[in-house]
Amino acid sequence: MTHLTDDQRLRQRFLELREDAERSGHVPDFATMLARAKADAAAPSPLTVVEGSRPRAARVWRRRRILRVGAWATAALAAAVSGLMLVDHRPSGDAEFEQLVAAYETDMWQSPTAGLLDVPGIELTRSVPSIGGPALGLDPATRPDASTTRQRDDL
Amino acid sequence: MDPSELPAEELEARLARLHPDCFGWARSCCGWNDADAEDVLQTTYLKVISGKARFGGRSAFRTWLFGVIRQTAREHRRRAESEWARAEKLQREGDPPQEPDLPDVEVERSERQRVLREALMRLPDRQSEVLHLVFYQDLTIREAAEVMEVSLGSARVHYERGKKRLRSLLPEDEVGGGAT
Repeated sequence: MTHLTDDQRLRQRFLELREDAERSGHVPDFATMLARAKADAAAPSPLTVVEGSRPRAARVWRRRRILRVGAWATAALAAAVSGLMLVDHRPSGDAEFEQLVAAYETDMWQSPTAGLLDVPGIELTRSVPSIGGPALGLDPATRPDASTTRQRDDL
Repeated sequence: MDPSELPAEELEARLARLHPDCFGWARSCCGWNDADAEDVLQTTYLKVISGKARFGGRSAFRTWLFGVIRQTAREHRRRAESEWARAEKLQREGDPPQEPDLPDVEVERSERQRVLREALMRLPDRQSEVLHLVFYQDLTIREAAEVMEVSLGSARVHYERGKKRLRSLLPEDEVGGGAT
């Protein structure tokens, strides 16, 4: 059995199907269907909206809807702007660090433990003796306080 | 004359000539349901008459009209699927269709057609469509491809696969069933 024969048989089967459909009277009357289609085409669909003929209630409803959407959009925009402003004004870690560096560079900054280094005789480490100048410790300007000396003697 | 502006009389005459073929095609697109096919055809005529579907003259009138029917049947099916539960309920409640008393030869013939229809319904849509268009409507594969909005090569593949599948679905004593 070749495929050509199969094709012929298939065609025969479809032909029978077609003949029976035509003979059985299943095909609806064309004139009736066309008349119905024409009537439907002539009558405006209840769902059709003709431009400019929107009823008042629909216009009011549409206006309210626009107002409602507008109000929500405005509130959302205001919230977003406020959030952005808050975020921008919060000092960052970098800014604090830069302030500390600037203070250090202008000698304003002092370590919390700097007082521990201020001991009697510390000035000896900060000056260079010179010939002809007052001896160290004899210069009244640099001489340690007498009371401090007495206290050390007591020790 | 611009083919997209057919006079109303000419348009109606063409529709009338093709009406039986259109109904057969609509039935095929609607799973051989006569009521659905009539609805689809009615909607198609409405589209054509109202100008929603306009013949552009790029293909044969019949090919274009079959394409509109196919598209309308798809829309109809989508709408029907959303109401599937309701339709099923109505079908259950409805009376079973009465089979007319037929002579033995007619009964056998009717049975053969029922088997063919059921086999076609078990095929994928594209395969069923191309077989119907070629064998029932006597279109070429190229015309069938235009109706189905697929390439010629694709239509050929659907055609060959459809035939093979249909042969396997039909009983062995018919159409070389069970072959391949």
